[in-house]
Amino acid sequence: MIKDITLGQYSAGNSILHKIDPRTKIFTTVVYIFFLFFIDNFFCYAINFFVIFFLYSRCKISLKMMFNNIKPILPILIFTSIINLFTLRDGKIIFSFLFFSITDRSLLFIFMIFCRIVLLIFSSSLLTYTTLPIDLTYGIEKILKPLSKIKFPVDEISMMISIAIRFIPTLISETEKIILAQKSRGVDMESGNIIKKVKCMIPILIPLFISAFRRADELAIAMESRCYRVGQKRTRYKQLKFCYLDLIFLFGFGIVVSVLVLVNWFL
Amino acid sequence: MQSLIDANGLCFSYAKEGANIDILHNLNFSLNQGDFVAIVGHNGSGKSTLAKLLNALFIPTAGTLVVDGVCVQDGQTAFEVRKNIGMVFQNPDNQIVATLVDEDVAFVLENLCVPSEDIAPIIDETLKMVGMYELKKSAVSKLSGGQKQRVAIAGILAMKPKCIIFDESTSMLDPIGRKEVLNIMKKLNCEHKTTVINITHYMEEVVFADRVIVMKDGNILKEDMPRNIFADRELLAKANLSVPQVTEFFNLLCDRCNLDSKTVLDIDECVSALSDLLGG
Repeated sequence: MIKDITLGQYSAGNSILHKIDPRTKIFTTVVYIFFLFFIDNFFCYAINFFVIFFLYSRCKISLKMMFNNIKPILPILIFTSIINLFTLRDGKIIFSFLFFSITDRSLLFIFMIFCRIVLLIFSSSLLTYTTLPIDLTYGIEKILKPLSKIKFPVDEISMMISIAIRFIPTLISETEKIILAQKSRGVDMESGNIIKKVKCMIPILIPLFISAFRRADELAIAMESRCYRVGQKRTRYKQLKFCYLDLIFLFGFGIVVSVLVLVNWFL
Repeated sequence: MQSLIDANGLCFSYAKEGANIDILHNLNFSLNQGDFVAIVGHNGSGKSTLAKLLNALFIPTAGTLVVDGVCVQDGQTAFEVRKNIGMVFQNPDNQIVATLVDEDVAFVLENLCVPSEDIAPIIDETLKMVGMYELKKSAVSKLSGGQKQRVAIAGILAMKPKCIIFDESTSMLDPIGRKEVLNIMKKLNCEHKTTVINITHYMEEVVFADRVIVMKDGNILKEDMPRNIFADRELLAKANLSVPQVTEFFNLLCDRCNLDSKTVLDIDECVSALSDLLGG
C-alpha cells in the first residue's frame, strides 16, 4: 500500500533532476515518450537504455527501485508478447508447431515493444522519483494555465488534485480503523473464496464513503470560512522559477533526441 | 466605541421536508474588540449555528447581524466578514487543505490575493506565534492532533483577523493538545487584543473567559461573568451544564458541612478558600 503519499515515490536527492523545474521535467518526459513510439532501431534502444541508466545512477536510485515499477505490468507484458509472437505472420518462419508459427519479424517486433514499454516506465518513473507530487501538481497547473483563457477550470482542478493528495493518508488510516472495527464486530475477511472476499469489502467501503462525504462537507465549509471562492483570482505562495540548470538539462535532452533522430532515420 | 459584533433580533431557521425548523430565536448581544467570550450550551442549543452565522457561513433569516461595520446579508458581504473573522473547527483533519504545513498557512493568503513575495514572511511569523515554526516543512499527516489544530489556527492567524471563533476546537484533542490550544487563545487575547469566542463543552476552559453566554434551544439564557454563571445553580440545571471539577468539589464540601457557599473557579482559589476555612 502507499505508505506516504506526500512523498509518493519521491526519493530525496541532490541531482540536477531534483533541482530543475517540474515543468521542464514534465515537458521533456512527454516529448521523450512521444519519440519513443517512433523508434525502431536497435542502436537507438541501446542509446536510450544507456541514457536512462546514466540518469538513474546520477539520481542515486537503486536498480531495485528501478525495476520495482516493472513488476506489476510484467504479466501483461509477457502475455501480449506471447500473443504477438504467435499471431504476427509476416517474415520468415523459423519455428512452427501445428498451426502456430514464429517468424523472425515477430521476434524482432516483440523485442522492440518490450523495450519500448520498459523505457516508457523507466522514464516516467524517473519523473516521479525526482519530483514531489505537490510540485508535479503545481507544474501541471502552470503548464495548463493558458487553457484558463478558454474557461477551462485549471485552478479548480489543481486544487482538487492537491486536496486528493492531502487526504489519501487520512483515508488510508480511516480504512484501517474501519477494517478493525468491522473485524471486532465479527466480520470474517480472511476466509472464503474470492466472491466472499469481495462481498466483505461492502461493510468497509460504505462507512468509508459516508465518512469521506462528511469530511468533504466539513472541508468545504472550512475552506469557505478561509475566504476561498470558486473561480476567484488567487495568488500563489510557491513560485516556480527556471534556472540555468533547466537550460543545461534541456540542452542535454536536445542532444539525445537529435542523436536518436539521426540514428533512427538517417543511418 | 463601536462594537465588533452586533446582533439584533437575530433569527435563523431552515426548511426541511416542507417544515420550517427554527434554530435561533431573536438573539441580542454585542461583542467588543478584545473580548474573550465563551459560549456554552447543551447539544443542539444552537451554538455552532451561531458561530457559522458570525462567520457568514449562514445568512440570518431575520434580524440584523453587523460584524465590524458590515451587515451580513448576502454572498458579497459574507466575503468581507470572513476576512475579519476566522473560525477553527472541531476536527483538525477536516480543515487543513494543503499537504505541507507552510502551504496550508499560505492558503488563506493566496485566497486574499496577497502578493507571492509577501507570503513567506507572514507564514514564518504566524507559525512562530503558534510554536510550529520548526515543523514548517513537514507533512500535515505526520502531526499530532494538537499540532494539526495549531496549524489550523496559524492558517487563520495569517490573515490577522479581528476575531477568532473556536468551534469546539479542543474537543477532539488530548489534554496536552487542549492545553496548547487554550494557551494560544489566551496569548492572542492578551497580546494581540484579538476577540476570542470559545464554544466549548469543557467548563475548565470557560473559566478563562471574561464573559459567558449560556444558550438553550436557540435562546440566550444568560450572559455574565464565569463566576456568576457557576454560582447560579438553577441556571446550570436548566441549561443542563456542569461546573468545573474544583467548583463542584468545593460546592459539595460546603453542602456537607453546612458552610456558606462560595464559588471557586480554579485550584488556587480552592486552596486559599480551604485554608481560610481551616485557619478561621
